[in-house]
Amino acid sequence: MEKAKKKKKFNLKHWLPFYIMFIPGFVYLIMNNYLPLYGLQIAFKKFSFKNGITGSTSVGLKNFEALFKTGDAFIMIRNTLLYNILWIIIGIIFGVTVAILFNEITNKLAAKFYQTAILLPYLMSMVVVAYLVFAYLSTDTGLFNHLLHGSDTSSYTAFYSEKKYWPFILTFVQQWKTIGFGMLLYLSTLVGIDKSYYEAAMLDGATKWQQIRFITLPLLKPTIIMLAILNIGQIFRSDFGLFYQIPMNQGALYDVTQTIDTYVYRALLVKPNYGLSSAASFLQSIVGFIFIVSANAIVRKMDKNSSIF
Amino acid sequence: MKKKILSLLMVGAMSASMLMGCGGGSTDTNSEVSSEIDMDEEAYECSIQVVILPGMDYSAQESAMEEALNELTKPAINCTVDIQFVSIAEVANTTQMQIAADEKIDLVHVATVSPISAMVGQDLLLDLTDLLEKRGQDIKALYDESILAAGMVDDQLLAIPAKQYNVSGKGIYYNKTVADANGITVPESGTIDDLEAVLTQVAEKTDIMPFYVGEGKTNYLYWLSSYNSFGDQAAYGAIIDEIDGNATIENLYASDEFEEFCLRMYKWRQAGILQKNQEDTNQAQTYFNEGQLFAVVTDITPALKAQYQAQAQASGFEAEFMTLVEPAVTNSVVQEYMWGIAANSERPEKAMDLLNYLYSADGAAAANILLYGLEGENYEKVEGSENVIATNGSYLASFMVIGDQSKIAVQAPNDDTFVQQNEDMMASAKVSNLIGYMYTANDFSAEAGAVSNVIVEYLPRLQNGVCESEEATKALIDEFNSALESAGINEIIADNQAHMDEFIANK
Repeated sequence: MEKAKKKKKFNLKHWLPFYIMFIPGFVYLIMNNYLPLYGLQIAFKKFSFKNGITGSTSVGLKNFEALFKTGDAFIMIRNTLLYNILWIIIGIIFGVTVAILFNEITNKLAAKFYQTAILLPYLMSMVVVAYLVFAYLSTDTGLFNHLLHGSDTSSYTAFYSEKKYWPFILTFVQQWKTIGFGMLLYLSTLVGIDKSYYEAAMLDGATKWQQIRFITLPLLKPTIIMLAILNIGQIFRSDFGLFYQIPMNQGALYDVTQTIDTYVYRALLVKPNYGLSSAASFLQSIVGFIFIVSANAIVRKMDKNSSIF
Repeated sequence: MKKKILSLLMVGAMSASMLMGCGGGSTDTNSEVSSEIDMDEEAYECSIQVVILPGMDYSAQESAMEEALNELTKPAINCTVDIQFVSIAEVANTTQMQIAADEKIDLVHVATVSPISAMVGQDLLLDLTDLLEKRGQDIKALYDESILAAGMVDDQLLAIPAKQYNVSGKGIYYNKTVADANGITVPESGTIDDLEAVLTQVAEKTDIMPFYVGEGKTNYLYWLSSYNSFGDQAAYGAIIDEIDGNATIENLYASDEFEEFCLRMYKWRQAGILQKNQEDTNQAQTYFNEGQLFAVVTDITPALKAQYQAQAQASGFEAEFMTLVEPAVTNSVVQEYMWGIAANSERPEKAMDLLNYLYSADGAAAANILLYGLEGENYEKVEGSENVIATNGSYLASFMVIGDQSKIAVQAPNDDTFVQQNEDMMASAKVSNLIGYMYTANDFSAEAGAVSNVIVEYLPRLQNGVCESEEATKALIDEFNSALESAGINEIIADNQAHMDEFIANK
C-alpha cells in the first residue's frame, strides 16, 4: 500500500541559525563531559607520571578493592548514604514549606529582602562558614558555651571532640546553606500556578491549609519528584567543604563526618594515588547512575507522567 | 532526519575522543647526557623552589634577586634562574599540582613535610644517577657515598641531600627575655623532666603560654625523646633507641614511651602548661614570634640556632636553646632537606647544572642570594669577619638549605668558627646504621592511608592531654592501638622489618 504521507522537506534555511547557536554549547558539552571519559581508565591502572595515562600498568579492580579493604569503608559509605537520604527528605519538606510561605508575601520590598537574605548563605564559601560555626561552637571562645554556661569554664562543652552533636550541626549548616537555592526552584513552579484555582477554592470555603493540600502540593508534585530523582543521582557524593571544613578537620569526629570524598582526600595526602581517587569517583558515578535509573523506573511504574525519562 | 544528524554528530565526537586518546604516548627517553655544558645555545631558564614560612611574601624583591642570580649563573653555566617561592604548608600540594599540570618546574624541595616516600609511587622525581655522574661533580665531591644513598629508592637516586652537616640534636628554643625577667634558669641540656620543671615555673610566674602542641597532628615526642621514625608520624613503625644498636621496628604508639608521653601531656594540661587545644590551627612559631609562647620544639644545629636567634631579634627578644636529645646523624636528619628534579623538567641536565653550580665553591655567592637575599637590602656583612652576615629580618628563607656550608656566608650570631663547630659536632656524633634505608610501603598503600587516618584521629587529643582523667587517657591509647591494628599497622611493620633486615645484611 502506498504511503499517503508526504515527506516533510528539511528546511535548512529555517533551522540553520538554531544549529549554529547550538554548536558552542554542544562543543562545550563534548569537551567537558565526554572527552574526559578517556581518563576513566586511570581507575584501573597504577598511575605514573613518567608513563602517562596509556603507558601506566593496568591493575584491574585492585583500586576498587583498596577502597573497601579498609575498616573505614563501612563508616564512610554509611555516613555518605544516610546523610544524603536524610537531607533529600528534609530538603524537600523545608524547601516546599519555605517556598509556599514565600509565595504568600505581598510586600514587594520585603520579598526582595528575604530572597536575598535566604540566598546569601548559598554563595558563601565553606571555609568562611567553617569559621562562622567555629565562632559559635569553639570550646574556649565560642558563643554557645558563653551563653549557656557563662564563665563556668569547666562545664563548657567541647563540641569539636564530641561526636553526638555533629549529625545535627551538619544538617543545620547544610540546610541553612542550601535552602535558598532549593526554594527558588519550587518557587518558580508555584508562581506559575493559575490564581483562578485559589479563587475558586476560596469561594468554595477552603481553608489555607486545605488550599495548600489540594491545590499547591499536587501541582508541585512533578517538580518535587524531578528534583528528588536528580538528587538521588548524587547520593554517593558529598559536599567536600561541608564534611572537611566545618568539623575543622578534627580527627575525633571522623566516625560521623568521614565520607567517601574526605577519605580519598586524606589518603591522597599520605600517599598520592590517582588510581584510588579515580576509582572512588568512578564508583560514585556508577552508584548514582544505578540509583537514578531505579528511582525513575519506580516513579514511572506509579505515575507515567512524573518520571524524567 | 534531525535525530540522524544528532546521532551522527555524537558518533563523530565520541570517535574523535577515542582517537585523541590513542595518540601521544610516553615521552621519549632521554638520549645520552653529555658531560659538557653547551655555552652557545640560548640560556635555559631553570626554576628553583624556595620554601618559606606561611604568610611571608617576597614577590617584591623576586625579580631583583633573579637579576642578581642571572649575572652569576649566565656566564658560569648558561642558565637563568626563576625563583618559585612556596609556603612550607603548601609545598607538597604545589609540587604535585605543578607536575600533574605539566607546569614549569625543575628543582624541587624534597622532604621536610612530605617524606620522599610519598613522592615515589607517582614517579614525580627523576633518577639522578646518570646526571650526577656527568654534571654533578661538585656535589659528588661534597658527600660521602653512604650519605648520598639516603636518596636512593629501589635502585634509583631520586634526591640529593641538601646539607653536608647532617648532625642534629633535638630540643626546644625558648624566649630568653621572658625567662630572665622572671628569674627562670633553663639548663643548656636535660631531660623531659627538666623541661617540665622549667615549664611549671613559667606557668606559675608568667602569663605567657608555656608550651603549645596545637593541632597535634605532628608527633612532638619526636623532639623530646630519641626514636627513628618511618613514614609520616611513624605510620610505618619506629625504632626506639636505635642508636644503641637496637634494630627492631615496633609500633611507636603501643610503646611505654608513648603512654608516658600522653600521661605527661595530660598532667601538663592540668598544670596550665598546655593552654590551647587541638581546634587551634596556628603554628607554634607564629605564637612564639609574637611573644605569646615560651617554648617551641626544634632540631638543634649551629645553622638553625643562628636563624632562629635572628628571627627572634627581629621580633624584639632573645631566643636560646635547650637540648633534649643528643646530636646524632640519622636517616631522618639526612632526609629532612633534599633536592630533586621534577619528572617533567624540560632540561634536567640544566637543572643539575644549576644545582651543581650552587654547591660549588664558585657558586657560593649565588647560594647566598637564595639564602639571605640581597646585600644591603636584606643583610649586612659583619665588620671584621671573614664570612659572617647579619640579616635585618626582611628576608627569611626559613626552610631553604643549599650550598657548600663551608663556603656560603655564615649567619650571625654564628661567627667564623661555624664550620669548625659543625665539624666537631659531626666528629662526636653517633652515626646511625640505617643511613640510606628507605621504606615506601608500595604494596600496602591502602593500609598506609588507613593508618594515617587513625593517627590523625587520635593523636591530637592525646597530645593535647584533653582526656578527663589518667584512666580515660589510657583507655583512649588502647582504643587508638586497636584501631591501628585493624587498619593494618602490624602488616606494614612486618614488611618494613623484612626490608630493613635485607638492607642491613647487604651492607
